[in-house]
Formats: sequence, C-alpha cells, structure tokens
Amino acid sequence: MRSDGSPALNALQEQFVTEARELIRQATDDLIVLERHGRSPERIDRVFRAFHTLKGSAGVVELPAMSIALHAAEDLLAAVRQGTLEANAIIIDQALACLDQVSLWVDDFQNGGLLPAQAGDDGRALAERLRSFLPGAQSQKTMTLANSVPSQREATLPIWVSRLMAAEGDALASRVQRRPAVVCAIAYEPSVGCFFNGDDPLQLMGRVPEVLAFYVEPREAFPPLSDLDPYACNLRLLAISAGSHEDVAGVFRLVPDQVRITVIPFDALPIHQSSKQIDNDTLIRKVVEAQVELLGVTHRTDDFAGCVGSAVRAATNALRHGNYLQAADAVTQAGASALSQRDTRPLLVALEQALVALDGARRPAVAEEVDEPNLTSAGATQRSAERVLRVSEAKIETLVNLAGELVVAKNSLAHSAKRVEQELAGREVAGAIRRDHDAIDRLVAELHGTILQLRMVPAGLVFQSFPRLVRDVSRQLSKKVVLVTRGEGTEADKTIVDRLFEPLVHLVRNALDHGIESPEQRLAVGKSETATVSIEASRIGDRFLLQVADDGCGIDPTVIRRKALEKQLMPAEELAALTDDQVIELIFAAGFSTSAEVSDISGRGIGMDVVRTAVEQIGGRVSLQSTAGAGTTVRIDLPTTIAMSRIMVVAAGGQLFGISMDAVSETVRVTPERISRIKNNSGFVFRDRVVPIVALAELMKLPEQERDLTAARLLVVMEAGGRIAALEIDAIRDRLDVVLKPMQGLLAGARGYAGTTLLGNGEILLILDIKELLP
Amino acid sequence: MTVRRSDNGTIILDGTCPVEDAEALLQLLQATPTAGIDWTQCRQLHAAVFQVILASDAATVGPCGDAWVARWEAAQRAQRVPTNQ
Repeated sequence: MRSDGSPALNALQEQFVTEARELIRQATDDLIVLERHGRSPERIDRVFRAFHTLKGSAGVVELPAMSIALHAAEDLLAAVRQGTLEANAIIIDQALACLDQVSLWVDDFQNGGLLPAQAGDDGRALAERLRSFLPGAQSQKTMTLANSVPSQREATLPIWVSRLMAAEGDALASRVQRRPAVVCAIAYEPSVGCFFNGDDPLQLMGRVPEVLAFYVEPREAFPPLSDLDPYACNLRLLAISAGSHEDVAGVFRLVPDQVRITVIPFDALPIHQSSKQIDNDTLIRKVVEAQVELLGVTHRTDDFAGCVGSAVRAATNALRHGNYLQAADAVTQAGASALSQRDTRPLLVALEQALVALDGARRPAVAEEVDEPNLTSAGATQRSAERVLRVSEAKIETLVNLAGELVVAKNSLAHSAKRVEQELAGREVAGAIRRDHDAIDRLVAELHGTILQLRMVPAGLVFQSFPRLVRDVSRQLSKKVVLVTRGEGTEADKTIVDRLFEPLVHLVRNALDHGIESPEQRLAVGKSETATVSIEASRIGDRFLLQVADDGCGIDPTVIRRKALEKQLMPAEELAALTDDQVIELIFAAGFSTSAEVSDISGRGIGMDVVRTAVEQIGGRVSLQSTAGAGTTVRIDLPTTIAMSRIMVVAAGGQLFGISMDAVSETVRVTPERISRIKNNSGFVFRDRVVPIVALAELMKLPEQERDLTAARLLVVMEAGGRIAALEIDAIRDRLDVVLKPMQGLLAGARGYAGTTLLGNGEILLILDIKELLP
Repeated sequence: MTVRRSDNGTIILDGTCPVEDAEALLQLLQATPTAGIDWTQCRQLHAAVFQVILASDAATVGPCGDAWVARWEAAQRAQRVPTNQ
C-alpha cells in the first residue's frame, strides 16, 4: 500500500476513515456543548473518550503523527477532567484545532493511504502547542494562538550536533558539495521492537539525501554480551543532512514519532573549511579524467597490463578518498575485466560512470525515495465530502438511468394502447393492454421510487458542520448565538442535500453577520442577550422545505428601498408601487447588498443572489419573510428528488410542449368577455390580481391558427421567479413523469428551454423554461 | 550461511546479513568474545547485526562490504568513546 502508492484502502482502513469521521463529528459537537453549557463530568468523559478512541484507532492503522497530536489533546482533556484546567474557550479552540488537523489527515489518508511528509512535524508541533496549555507548562504565557504550527522547526543546536561535528572535523567540510543554507539534524531513535516490524534503521538512514555526517550510538549502555537481546533495538542514529526538510521528513514518513528533525542554519554548524577541501571533488574529477585520457592513447600491447593497473589504482584511490566507494569498486571490477579481455573499453565505461556519479553528487535530489505526488497533492486533492452511500455512485446512477428508460418504455405502451383503441378498433384488446399498462405503471413507479430512495440521505448530514460554524463566527463577531436544528432526519436526494450546503452557509453567515444584533443592542431593545438561529428541515407532500430563521433585527424595507434606488435596480415609480414584502425580495437581486461595509463573514453582498441561483439550479424556490426588529426567515422549497419531473404536455400552434408542473398554479377556461385588452396586451382578473395573458404560439413564433373567437380560452396560470402570467394554449394533452434531459450539444445554449424528454411515440418533447419565457 | 566461523576462528559476515544474523552472531561472540569479525564480504548489514557488533568488543577486519556502513565506519570508530547526550 505504501510503496506502490496505491490509494486502495483495506477494510480495516476504510472502517477507520468512517469511524474517525464519526468520532471527529461527535467530539466537535460535544466540545461545543461543553463550552455552551459548561462543565459536566459526563460531557467531559464523552469528549475524552472520543479523543481516546480516535488515538487508539490512529495507532491501529499506523498513523503515528495523528497519535502524537491526539495524545497531547487527550492529556489536555484529562487535565480538564481532573479539574486542574478550566474548559474555557481557548482550550476548546485548541481541542477543535486538533480535530481540524486530524480531519484533514483523515482526508489525506483516505485519498492516498498515507499522511503528507510533513505530518510528523505538524503533529509534533501541534502536540507541543497543546501541551503548552497544560497546567505548569512554561511556554503558556508566551505562546500565541495564531501562528504556532510549524514555525518551531528552526531550533537551537542539539548538543549531539556539536559532538558529532567535533568528531567529524574537516572530513565533513570535504563532503559539502554545495553550500546549503540550512541543514537537517536528524536524531532517529527506533522503537525497541522495530526489528520485529521489519524495520532496518540503518537502511532507512541510508536513504537520507546528502548526508554530511552519520553516527550510531547505543541509547543506553549495552549490557554484557551474555545479557544482550539481539532483537531489542537500543540504537540512536544521528545524522546531518544537506537535503531539504521535506525530503528528509519524507524518508521518515512511516516513523515520524521516532525521529526528530531539527533545521539548523548551515552557518551555525561548527565547521572550519578551506577552499582546498571544498574543491576535493574537482580534484578527484581531474584525476579520473586524466586516466580516461591516458587510456585513450594507450594501445600498445606490451605494457597494457601496467597501464590499466596504474589507471585503476589512481582512479580508485581518488574515488575512495572522496568516499565514492561504489564507483571505486566498479572501477576495480572493470579493470579486472579490461585485463582479461585485453580491452580498455570496460574500464573506460566504468570511469565515465564514475564521472557521472561525481556530477550527480553535485546535483542533489537524484535518488530520493520521496513520493512526489503525495507531497504536492495535499493542497490540491479535493477534500472529499462525507459519504454515506457505501454503494458506488456510478452504479446508482446507472440504476436511476435504467429506471428512467423503463418509464419511457412504459409511456410507449400507453401510446400503443391508444393506437389500438383508435385504429384497430379492438376495444377489448385495448382494455387488456391498458390494464397491463396500469400494472407496469404501478411497478415502475415503485421501482423508481425504491431506487431513488437509495439516494435519499437525511438533511442532518448537511447540518453537521453548522454548530461549529455558528460558534466560530459568533465568537469572531462577539455575539451570543444559539443554534437550533430541527428535522435532521428529513430525507432528500443526496444531490439536493449536498448542494444545499453552500446556500445554507450563506444564509447562516448572513443571519449572524447582518441579522443578529450585538448583545448590548439586544438588551437595549428588550430581547434576551443570546440570539437564536434555527435551521429546520421538513417535508410537505413531495416537497422538501428548509427554513433558516433568526430572531435578529430583521430587514428594514425603507433601507432596501433606498439601496435599490441608489443602485438603480428599477425606476423610482416602479419601486414605489412595490409592497414591503416585494421590496424585501429585492435582496435576492444580483449585486444587492444592504450591509454598509464589506465584511469577511458574509462576503460582499453577493450572498443572497448566489443562494437564489443555487437553489433554483436544483429546482427549488427561495422566499424570505422579515419583520423589522423581530427577525428574518428564509424558506427554501425543494423537490425531494431531482431525477424525475412532473410535466404537463400542452399543444399550441400545432406543436406539443412540456411545462414543468412546478410552475403551474392552475389551469382555467376563461370566456372572452372576462379578458380585457390593454394596448397590445391582454389580461384578466384572477383571484383579485391582474394576470397578463401570453399566447404560447405567439411566444414560440408559430403561425396563428384559425379559432373560434367566442369560445372559452384555455389558460395555464403560472408563477415563476416572483412573476405571474397566464399562458394561452390550445389543449392539454397529458400529464407525465419524465426524466428531464438538459439541452445538449448545439442546443445547450438555447434560451427558453429547460430540457427535453422522449415521448412514448419516440418524439422529442421540448420542455419550456417558464421563468425565461414569461414577460 | 551469511554468518559463519572460518577455520582460523574469525567470524565471517557474507553477503546480505538479515536481522536473524544478529542472534547467530551473538551466539558466536558469546562463545569467543574477542574473535575478529571479517565483514568485507558483507554486502548489506542489518541494523540488528550492527548493534551486536557495537555491543561487543570484537575488532572488525577490513572495510565493511556494505558501502553505507563503510562510508561512516571511520567516524564511528573515531568516536568510540562513551557519549552522553
């Protein structure tokens, strides 16, 4: 799993990911409750247990960095449990920050089966920071909250470094190929049982790039040989490397808990070097090159052996001097085969390779065993959202499509039945087919419903992150807010629930930023100091309703009117004619912002516009009610599923069109005398409102049909985007459940159409986008 | 066998010496604590085997065949003085 980079997790690891997410969520919730409602032994126990279990599972899947961090957090919570530490906001912040980091690591783990290379350092830094809050920790006062993660890498010179440098003396300087700005001091203390895990600390150290010094010593004095346990590791491996911190950390990725890497400025190293020693490699190079040259001119057979022998001696001595032992060995061997073959070529090849090796040593990062993708991907990989479906989504998608096709097939059966009825006059046969059709209809509906159920997830999934968001944002704004969520179990299609997250974030942030007043303001107007924001999901019929409400200051229509005028959203007289409710709806208009200042909480006033677009994309409607001084409620009305749409098939101008039933309020027949003409437009009064009438045929630029002007006109009253209009049609043909396919290819950009669907007779039906068409 | 005793009593490490060799080497050293260890033929030395050599007073013969160990062995020997952190 590790070395081949394959991201596939085994069952245990998968279970860990699922469990860890659940534990993180639970611990987050409990921490927030702990903060809000204060310390109770039971709550602290729950939090403690969650951290403890997480730590344990991290150990099982061998994520030491995670264990280190969680262990420190556990220590902190243990202190809270014992009562030696107060569970104040700062401590809760620390525990939450730890969970954030762990959550990111879980994502990394899920995506690649391992943690990023710097995880060990980050984990240790996090642990140190957490422990600094423990009672008695010295650094508590000096510690700043914001920038504390990995900045502690640069530290003072460990004592062993000076010791090692003193022993190395000039030899170290001679190994410096390029003068690095910083070096890594590596102290690696393998665990006692590491040999049993198949670790070979010596080999691992051999993979460290650009080693300048290396030393192995016992951690504790060795016992007499008679008492020595050969399989208990008692070694401390120390090294100084000119490689980058990332590369070095990459080598120890699997044992971050056993290694301590300290970055030291090169200048801080106690070495004294002369220019002569720096040029060591150049010298070796010259010696080797000279041998190549000499061999090139030596073809006399009499002293062949002597020439080859001296070239080999000179080259290997030079190479050994520079510690290029492998190259030296290769030259020796090549020399032997050159002698036996009486041909200088093998030796020349070996010498050339030695020269290449010399060059290679100058360039770092030649043979490092660091998985590049894992180093760079940490930021780029999409953080996968919480998955509840354990079945592959592609399979579900296929099922949904299949069921859709089945619906089409069923519709075609209805069409056949109709034809039998009309053309073949076989009424009895037709009746049988109809009954069959009804049966299939019922079965298909059931099948389709069941399949869609597979995609149904509870709304609570999307609510999960809000307690944390509300806590953080309200703290940032110094407001007191309680979040209430209701209807977590209400189910809707996964796509809908997933896509709801962003609009909800906007709405909640808006409520916190603009809606909720400061505690002082609230007290001044006689409200309780703590405000309430509620998110509620419910189901009415086949609609999924989501409501975000706050008991804040509400929206003042006069402010909106003024802003709308300033931004010239519409002419003044039109604005004056709007009711207060209609005015408030204006905040959904693009680019409208009532906040005097741009804040970093709810952005730049594009929020509500984005909310409306996002909700409409998944077939929903959003509306807002607000009472100045009492609060604001935003309602999002959504279909529970988006895979099927109910449409009405209508005829106009000799063609068929589909209209989404979502937009239809009513169908009415209106006698001509009820219709009044105002200039070129006609309209009629419907439920005390003047509704303009639009002829669909005219709208679609179809030729006018002959018609009886005295006959009643068929109108479909529709409401969309806050407007109302009546569409005049010739006839209503059918009501169908269809799988709406978006317009594709050349037609993708065609305005006025929501998509297409296949009718039973194979014809393609265009579904109108009413919102675009209405005047 | 990657660990064996030669006719003259020297312990020879040969080829790739895996972790198990640590025990074999220890047994040989326990029998003759001052026997020399010839590691010139050892291509790769496991840390466990190296640890046994470190823990013993045995002298090594020639440069280690494991290039990585050989490279640092000199420094290792130069520092073979008790160290304290």
